[in-house]
Order: sequence, then C-alpha cells, then structure tokens
Amino acid sequence: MVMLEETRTETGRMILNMGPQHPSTHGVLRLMLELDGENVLECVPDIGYLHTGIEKMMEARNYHQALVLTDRVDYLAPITNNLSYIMACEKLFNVEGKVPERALDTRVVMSELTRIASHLIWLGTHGLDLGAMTVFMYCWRERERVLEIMEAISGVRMMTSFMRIGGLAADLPDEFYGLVAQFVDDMPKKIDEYETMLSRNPIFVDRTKGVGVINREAALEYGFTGPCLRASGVQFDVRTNLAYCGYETYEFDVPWSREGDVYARYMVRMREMRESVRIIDQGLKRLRASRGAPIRLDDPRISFPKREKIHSSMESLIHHFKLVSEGPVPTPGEAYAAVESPRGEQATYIMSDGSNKPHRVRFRAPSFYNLQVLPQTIAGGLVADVVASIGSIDIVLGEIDR
Amino acid sequence: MAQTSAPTPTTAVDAPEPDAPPPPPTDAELVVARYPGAAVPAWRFADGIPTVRVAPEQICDAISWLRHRPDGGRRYDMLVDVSGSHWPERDDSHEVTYILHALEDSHRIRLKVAVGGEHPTIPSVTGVWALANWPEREIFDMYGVEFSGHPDLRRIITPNDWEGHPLRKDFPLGEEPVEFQRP
Repeated sequence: MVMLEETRTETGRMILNMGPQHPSTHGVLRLMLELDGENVLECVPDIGYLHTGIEKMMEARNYHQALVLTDRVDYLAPITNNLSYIMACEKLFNVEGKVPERALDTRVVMSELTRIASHLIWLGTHGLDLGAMTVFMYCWRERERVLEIMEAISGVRMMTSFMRIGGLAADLPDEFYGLVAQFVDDMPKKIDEYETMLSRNPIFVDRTKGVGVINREAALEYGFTGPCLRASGVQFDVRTNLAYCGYETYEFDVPWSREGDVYARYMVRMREMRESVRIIDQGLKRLRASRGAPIRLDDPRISFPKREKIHSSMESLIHHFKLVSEGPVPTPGEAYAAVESPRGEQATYIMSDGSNKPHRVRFRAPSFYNLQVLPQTIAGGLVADVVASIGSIDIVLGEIDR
Repeated sequence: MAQTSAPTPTTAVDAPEPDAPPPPPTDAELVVARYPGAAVPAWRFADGIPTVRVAPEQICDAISWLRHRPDGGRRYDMLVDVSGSHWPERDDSHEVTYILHALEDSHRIRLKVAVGGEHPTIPSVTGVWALANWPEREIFDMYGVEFSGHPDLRRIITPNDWEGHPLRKDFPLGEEPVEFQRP
C-alpha cells in the first residue's frame, strides 16, 4: 500500500487514486497521483494486486507440471513464456541444440503469431484509451483469428501449454497451413487499415507525439527492453542479439526509432507486426517442407514416448510412467534463458538442486522493469497523458505481480 | 575489447602454441583479479554466462566498474536482471544474482552475492543503477534481504502488514487439504 503524505493536501493539491479497478490501467494497477489542477506533480505506482505466487508454486511441481503455470505469467503472450521456460529447461537438461528443426520452426511461428495477437490487444486498448473506439473492434477481429489458429494447434485458445522439453506436445494439424497462409495474406492489409485510422489521425498524433518521452540514457538506466527500448534508440532485440530457436536464419528487420515518445513506441510496434508477418511467412514455408519430420526429441529421460509406443513397448510404458509420476531430473545447476516477448526480454531463470522439482524459478518480467519508469515519464504531464503513457508501455499485470 | 599491455592476471595453462600470446583476460577473470575474495563459484551454469561471486561490500563497485569500465574494456550498458534465491542448507543462505549485458557485442556476465545470518544485508546498487530499485524491493519482500542505502525499501508485492517472506524455503506453500467426505 502506498500512502502519500497527508500534509500535501493542505496546499490545495489533490491526491487522486487511479485504479486498481480502472479500465485504462490495463489490469489491476493502482497509481497515486498528486495533482495540481490537471498537472501531475508526482506519481507513485502500487503493484501487487494480482500476485498469485506462481514462482512459489512452481517450486512444488515437477518440470513437466510447472509448464502449465508459465502460461499464466504473461497471459497475453503465453507462448513466449512457455518458450523461455522450456529453453531454460533444455539448457538445464543438456539437450539444447538437439531439438528437432521442425519443432524450432513451429516455436518461431507460434511466437510471432502471439506477438501479433499481443500487439493487437495493445493497439486496441491503447486506441480505446485515447478515444478511438473503432480500432479496438478491428484489432479484436484479427486477434480472434490468431486464437483460432492456436485452438486448431492445441485445442486451447489462450493457455496452450504447447511446448515440451525437447520439442512440442504434438504435430501441427492439417488445417494449420491454410489458416496461417490466409492470415499472412490478410494481415498486411489489416495493418494498413489500422494505420489509416491512427498514424495520421490529428487527435491521436496530438495525444501521442512528444508525450511520455524517455531518452536513450533513461531507457538503459531504468531497464527498458523490447519495443519501448527500441523506440528510445537502442537497437537491442533478443531475437537478433542473442538469437534462439534459429531466429538468425530468418530474414527480418528490427524496427527502431530515436524519439522515445508514445508515438514512437506506437510506430515501432506497428512495424514490428509487419516484420512478424514476414517471419511467419518464412516459417510457414519451412513447416510445409518439413511435414512428417520429428517434432520432439527422442530421449526417454525427458520427453514422453509416442502414444502408439506405449501400447506396444514395455520400456516406453515404464518411461512414460516414470516421467508422469516422478518427472525428469536434471543435474544440479542453473540456467537463464531469454526470449523476446511482445513486451521485451522475457526470461526464465531456473535453479536446480538435483531433485525432480526446480529449487527456484524466476521470471524476468519485462513489464516489471518497463513500468518502473512510469513516474519519470508522466511527472509534469497532464492526467490525460498518464493514460497515454501507460498504454504505450504495454504492461501486463500478470507478469508484474507474478 | 581494447586490452592494452597490462599483465594478464591469469595465464592460460593449456595454450596451443608456446609462442602465441596468451588470450586477453575475459571480463570474469578481470573481476576475479580485481576484487580480493572474488571467485568463480563451483557450480554448473548451464547457460554459459560467465559468473563471478563477489563479497557483498564489493558489489556496488563491481557493477559500477563493469558499467563504466575506466580501463577502456567492454562496457556493460544494461543491468538485465536482479533476482534472489534461498538456499537454507548453505552457510550464506541468501543469494542475489545480477545479470549484465553489453550492447556492443551482446556479451553477458553474471555477478552473485551471498549473505547469511539473521538479518542478511547487502549494499543497494540503486546508486549505480536506478533500475535496481524495484527488484531489490521485491527481494526484500520475498526473501527478507535488506539493502542498505536503498531509498525506499518497502514491500512491493505483498501488503505492508504481511508476515514472513513468501519465497523463503521455510515459508509454507499454504495449500489446504481438501476433505472428500461428508461433514
């Protein structure tokens, strides 16, 4: 809980409690604002309303069970959470680099689909915050298509838990290729459509240009990552700088900008969606070519045997039983694995003491660090700019509070 | 890395050619040489990030040195993560890990600090890097590690009147047994 000093109200200034149940704080974020008229003098964020103890719960699950919890950390981009957790596990189990190619390509395509879905939520709510109702509806329409693809792949729309240590839970269904091809075809036109509504819209531009400026130094000082960092002029993207899952073999650009204001962050994300479509297109070609290739590492220590083998082979039945009842056991050690989530560097840091459960699982949540800079962004601005700033940072309280 | 003719603190034992100059020391080796008592922990780091454990009183200087690099070496521009962990069976039961990132060649280094005792205390690095504010508050909240010199050391995720530190190993998970019977 945050309490600003009571005496300040005697000066005629107003203390405004924004949130936790406020639609434009994107979840349960509470801000204590000290106002002089419309001007914000001080802003104190208060987080923790969505604390679910995920890190603690993971210490009581085995490595396969804990995967399901990772979806819930950043609930708008479950795939990237899955991925960073699974990559940390693969490092811990010494199977990094042995994962089949087809599994890696699927991971890349799914990550990029998630990035688009997450950016669409950001764009829709950001537009809504600034008074643009239509763009919200349009964004939800396209996001629905991503969720349909996810449902076709895994049977679940959001919390897919589709990754496995050493590969994937299952192969892609036949309808996947058609759905994604159609999506890749349509999406650039849809992004044009959003841009016609916002990029040169005088109201939107007035509300975003020169607002909430974070320069390069402040961005590095306060630990920005992801599109926010790139909008402040730092070209750092985990996908290119610390490439994983074969991202180095894809052709794409990393959009960036120098301005560091709300509009720059908007533009960076819009261009990022186009790059994601490019990556999905390349990934889809590879997946079409590699149909029928293995999707999971064949290692009885860590990955589940195929269903048919359980029915016909005694050893597979034993492996399956051991994996379900006890779970895989790594050698003691620790591993930090980072991916580029839609919000920035999302990483999972697992420490193992050699038992079948992780000793410690830490999520490096990009929103947690990105939100920290908010008081600097909005001090001295107007109340209306607070809403624009929060929207442009694109926070997810699930991963901030964990 | 622009290493000049400074004598290397550690010499390569298994150099392939005796005439070849020894490779320039890595940043981890430089940190080990710079801080008495600093060492590479005997522990498996499956991610390949070079790791050095330093004493608590050295951490601020070490991070500041890596960030500014007065010797002209590789500068670490980003403090990526500050995290805690609890190892009750170890003497220094509380461990704090700092991961730094250099933009120029995407190199990373990890620093570790371990403290024990009733009231584990570590100097705060907020003076070196403002970003450490919230993560240190989180570690204080979750593990009870105090950060001396922190400007605003309050609980951040749990409420102010919360008792205990949830991520310590002696903190119960709090599951309630479900009774499958008629009352």
